[in-house]
Amino acid sequence: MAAILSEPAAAQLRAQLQNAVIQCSDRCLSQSAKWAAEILNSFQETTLVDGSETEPDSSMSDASPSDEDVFILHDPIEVALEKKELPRYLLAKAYFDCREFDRCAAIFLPANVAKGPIRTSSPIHPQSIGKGKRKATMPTEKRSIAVSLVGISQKALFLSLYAKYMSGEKRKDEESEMILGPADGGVTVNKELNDVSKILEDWFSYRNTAGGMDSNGGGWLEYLYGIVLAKNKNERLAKKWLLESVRVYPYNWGAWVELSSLLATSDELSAVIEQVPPNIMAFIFHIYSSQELYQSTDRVHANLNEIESIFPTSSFLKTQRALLYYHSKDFEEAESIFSDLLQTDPYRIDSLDNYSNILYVLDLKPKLAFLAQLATATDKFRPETCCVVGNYFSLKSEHEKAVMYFRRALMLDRNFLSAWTLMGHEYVEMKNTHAAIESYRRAVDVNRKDYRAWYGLGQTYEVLEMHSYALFYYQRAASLRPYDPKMWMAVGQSFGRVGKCANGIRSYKRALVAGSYYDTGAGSGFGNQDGLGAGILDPEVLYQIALLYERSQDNEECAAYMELTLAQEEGPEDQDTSDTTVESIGVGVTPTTSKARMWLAKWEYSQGGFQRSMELANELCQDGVEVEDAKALVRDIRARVEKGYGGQGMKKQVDAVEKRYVRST
Amino acid sequence: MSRYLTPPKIGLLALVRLYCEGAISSSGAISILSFIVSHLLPPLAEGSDDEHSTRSFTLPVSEFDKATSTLSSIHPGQSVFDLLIHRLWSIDSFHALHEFFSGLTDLLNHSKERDNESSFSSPPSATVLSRTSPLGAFVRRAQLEFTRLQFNDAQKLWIAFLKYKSPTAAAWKRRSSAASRITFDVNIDELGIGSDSDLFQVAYGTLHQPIHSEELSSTDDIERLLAFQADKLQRLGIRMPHDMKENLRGMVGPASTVPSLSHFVSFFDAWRAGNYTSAFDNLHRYFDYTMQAREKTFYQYALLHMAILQTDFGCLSEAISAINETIATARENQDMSCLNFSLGWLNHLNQAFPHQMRGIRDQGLNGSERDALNFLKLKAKESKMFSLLSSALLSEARLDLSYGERSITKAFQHIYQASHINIRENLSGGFGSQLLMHSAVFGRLGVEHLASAYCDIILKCYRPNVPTEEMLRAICRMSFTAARSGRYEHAIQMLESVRPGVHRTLKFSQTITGYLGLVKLLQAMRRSNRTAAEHILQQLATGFSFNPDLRTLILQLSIMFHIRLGSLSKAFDLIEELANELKEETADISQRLYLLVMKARLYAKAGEPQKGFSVALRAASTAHRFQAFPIFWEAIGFIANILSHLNEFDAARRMLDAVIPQCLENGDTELCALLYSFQADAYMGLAGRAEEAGRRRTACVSKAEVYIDRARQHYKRIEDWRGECEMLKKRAIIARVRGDDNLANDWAAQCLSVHNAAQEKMENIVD
Repeated sequence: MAAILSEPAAAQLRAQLQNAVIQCSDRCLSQSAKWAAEILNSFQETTLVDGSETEPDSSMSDASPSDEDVFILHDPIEVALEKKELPRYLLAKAYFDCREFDRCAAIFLPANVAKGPIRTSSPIHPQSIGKGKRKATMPTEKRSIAVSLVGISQKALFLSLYAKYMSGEKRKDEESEMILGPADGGVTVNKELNDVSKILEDWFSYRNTAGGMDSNGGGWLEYLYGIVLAKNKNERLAKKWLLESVRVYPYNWGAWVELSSLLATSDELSAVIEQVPPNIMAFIFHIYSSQELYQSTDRVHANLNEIESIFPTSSFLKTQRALLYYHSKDFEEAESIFSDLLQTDPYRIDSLDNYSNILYVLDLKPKLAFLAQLATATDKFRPETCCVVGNYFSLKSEHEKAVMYFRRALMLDRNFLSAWTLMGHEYVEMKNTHAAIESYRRAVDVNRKDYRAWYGLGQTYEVLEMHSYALFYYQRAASLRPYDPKMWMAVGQSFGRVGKCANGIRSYKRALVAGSYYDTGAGSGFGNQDGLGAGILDPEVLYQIALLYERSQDNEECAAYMELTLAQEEGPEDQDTSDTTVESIGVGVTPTTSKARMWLAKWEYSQGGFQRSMELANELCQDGVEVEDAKALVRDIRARVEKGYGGQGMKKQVDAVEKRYVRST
Repeated sequence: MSRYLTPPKIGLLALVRLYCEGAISSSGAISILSFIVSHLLPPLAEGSDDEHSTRSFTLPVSEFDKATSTLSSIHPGQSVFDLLIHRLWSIDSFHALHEFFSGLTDLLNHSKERDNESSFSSPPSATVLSRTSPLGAFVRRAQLEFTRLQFNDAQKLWIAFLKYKSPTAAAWKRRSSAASRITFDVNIDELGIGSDSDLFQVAYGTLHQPIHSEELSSTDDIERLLAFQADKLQRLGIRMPHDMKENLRGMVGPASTVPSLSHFVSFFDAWRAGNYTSAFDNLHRYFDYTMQAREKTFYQYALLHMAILQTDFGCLSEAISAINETIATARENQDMSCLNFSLGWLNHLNQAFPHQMRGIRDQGLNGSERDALNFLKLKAKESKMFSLLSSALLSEARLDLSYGERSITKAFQHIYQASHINIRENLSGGFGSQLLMHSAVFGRLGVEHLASAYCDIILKCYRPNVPTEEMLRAICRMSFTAARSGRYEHAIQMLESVRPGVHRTLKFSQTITGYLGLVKLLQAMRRSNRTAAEHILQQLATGFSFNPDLRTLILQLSIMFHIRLGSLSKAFDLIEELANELKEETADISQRLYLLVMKARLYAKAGEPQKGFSVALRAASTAHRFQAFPIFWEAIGFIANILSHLNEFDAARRMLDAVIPQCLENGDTELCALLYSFQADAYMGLAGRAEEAGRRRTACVSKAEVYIDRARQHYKRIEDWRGECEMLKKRAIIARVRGDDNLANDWAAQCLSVHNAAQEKMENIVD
């Protein structure tokens, strides 16, 4: 794709996007409309001005879609139908805007469809949907429904079915009652799903069999069908129909988002990318999905640069970039992007929850408070706002209040992923493991790609000392974030706990590799272990490896790793000092290295290396860690040496070591 | 509106913090502490009015300046105010505000188990507050309330705080060395944005708006304020001033939740304003709101208030049914205090409106009054309701005075008992009625200066505590006494000097107007200004029926007026009418005696004093029995007059001789004048009896002349020029009898000149 669009191409793209806004709002897809409108307004300023100045007739942007618009439907039948039913359509839209979904659906759908679902395959009990009496519908009616729907336009059909779907969602939310209550979770389902999917299935098959007609649904009906299928966990079919939708009409951003949420791995993503027509929307989709899949590679960044040259002021793209930095643990960079975004568009609340996560990690309390204040001033009843406030309270260790705000966020939107995860974290802090597990589980149900939730699940089970469960979840997290040492450490630890030392050692080694990968990368270290210089291996990991070796009776390996742990105190040897400067200084004395030193001292002692042991023990005394144990060891060594173990030479050496230390302290 | 926390409270917290850190020099510590505490503790109920009126309730930041800028801190050259400003401005972000509140924990004395945890974490401040000390409680409460705040409420507090401290920005810039940081939020600084950027508008767009008093006051403050108002209204019966009302409305704000007490306050306000309908409306609203919040025990209080309200607007039968209902409900709920209070109140009602109550009482559930009082006293003693006990004792005293024979001692006994209880239990509100009762007893005994002294005590010593109604009664009483002894200007000035605040209550205003009218009527009558007197009387005759005292006085004066006017039959009719009325309702004995004396006066005026003999004698004997001395003296005067007419001059003289000194002591000038003139008549009679031109006759005549002069002086003092003229005429006649025609002419000329002067004066007044 060309970096800079040619003049006519840009004009066409503008027209397309403009049309997309209208089409989406005609169908009450407000989020997609918002997205398209935002993108539409983020064109490079110059092209807009130039276009309107140089070409007098290039007022394409506000002209009706021209003939070249391949994606816009110009079916004469549809146009005629739409014209005919315009008053009724307007009424339906008005009802929809007033959130009277049932009433909206009833305008176009025939009474038997709107009122009573066709009960052919659905197993739902007749107690559902409080819409009065329901007659048992004849199977023979099935065909007639699709026929009866012929008389209305696709737009009207979409709006009606969408209203029906929305009404089901609304009712589902109402019936779910309290967050984490007994009716929350999988108990309640959208009872309209089966009807809608049935109608759509009939409609499509009728279209296909009737022939002659263009068999697609303008992209919109496919999109709706895809959503319904995805909700019914029929993901393969859903993906197929969503692909179909974006192929027919690519400017519906909602379809892309849905499609992205169905992708589990980057392999699937590349498979999908091959199936969609290579247009600008597919390009943006690629970036978005990569971000969602934590693929923070240089290629994605390059793509992002390219697309940003077309839409330089798009907050959406900037957010994507910030999130990419966030995923690669480059928090400062992400923070500065979000900070800029905040200044250019202070009323924007979208993805502020991610910003608050970044501020949380950076421990910028005043700024987080300011952000919370800002979001609250704009709209205090947005799930994002509640998440920001919840994060702030969490940072202040007021976990009860944090949970309150996360719950509020979930009341506002039950599918709000980060609130579920964050609430899980809070419940862990409050030692309410049961609620924590449920929260994480809900988060994972909403989005299976959320590694934090998987990791949280693992942690919670670890607290409950159910290590095989924890292992399972850690593995899921690690598979999502293969380059995150924290995940691998957790996996290794769990392996250790369930007694699979070899696997544990492999995992830890993987963590070492991942850690060095990140350390040499652009970002700083990660999480709580900030400041690990380049070339330094995490002593904790090394120590754990050593311990696992010890458990598997491989003391030689163990000692080697203990030595390695100790070596991290000084940092890498002088071969590294040439290219790294100040950072190459080691971690210094930490509890972990001290433990390693103790172990080594004892190990040397048992091996008869009294001099080394003495040296290590005295070092311990000097560092002031485990002084008692170290002194006891010194006494033991002395006793042994006095008794003549190791000969006279040894005694002298030990004395020399001791003298050296006594003098220096 | 926040529940408790306000920007001024943050200021106080900062001050507490400074104090605890030992930053305040020991000399200034006391004034700082008293400043803090005076704004924390509820205003003392006993405090004087002036203190409250000068203090702004919302405590602006300038108050801090005033209180602290003169005090030096331990840092040389820096006042406490400098430190305070520094403290306030170092709260430089919303997060810092959170930190400020969580940091308050350091000030508190930790309980033991927490001490172990955090003993090494934070160095304790110089002064550690005990958790239960006033300051400790304040700090803890503030912390708790801050924790309870919703995030957006905390944010509102933050914005309000920024606005609140903004007046000190200049001072902060001047004093701080780190002048580079001048904005109020670090985040704004860090982002480097100006006040015109969009982001700033979102975050602090409302900052430039002036601060509302609503933001400065919390529900807690408002409730305190309302409780103070309700207390004032209920106890003293004064209405809220207009500016206070405005203030309150501003503080309560249009949208926030209104404490239900404010309905109560507006109920009282409307009641005092005489606005019947809205008083009812507000009362019902108040109880609707409180009922939902608390239990149903408020029902009987609602009824009680309703009953009082009904009475106040003269709907006695409704009031009675309400109070009966109250009593029943209180019995049912076993609410002894309410029951006792309503019984006491019913009793009071019986005494205040005997006439109207009669019909209603017949069906009532209470027996004789004395039984009821005894019951009340018993109950009050049982349940330790001392104010009720005191008022029951006073009621009993009043009952003694009305009906009892030779019961002054008993009345005194009861009064002293009540007084004892008042003093022992420090019932400052009860002093008023007790002193008034005392004064009334002395008035009846004819010791006017003592009676006045007791009224004076009320006004001088108990003014802030005594209900306005009682204070007013004392003023009216003193003023009327002054008017009777001829000090009209003083009387009027006394009534007019009543605080304007009292006039806001309709009933009080009416009472004052009524008494003013009485004083003027008395003056006009004595000056024989007929038109003015008629006019005033007409005005007074309409609607003062709510106040029995006033009504009786008006009736008495109108009888007097008719007598003076000479329309005797009209006066006689009035007397008869009033007498019948009083007989029916077994009214206070002194009133009935007064009527008898009036009748005697009528006969005397009609020139047939003998006809009034039996009446006067009866009045005298009864008055003596009941120790109603002023009436007794008057009756004796009339008897003496009759005796003079019956040529029993010596007896008359002796009687008057016995009475006059006491009467002089009492200070009723008009009566004295009358008695002196009677005495003069008696001496003239004696002179007539004596042998012609003897020494005895001359002595008698000269004595008569002395007494006439005295009577004339007294008449002159009360501006009764008719009496004066009469005395002058008598002098002239005596002079003629002596044969000194020149002197007689002189007296006659003097009489004429007095007459003319009075006429002239009257015309001047009319002009």
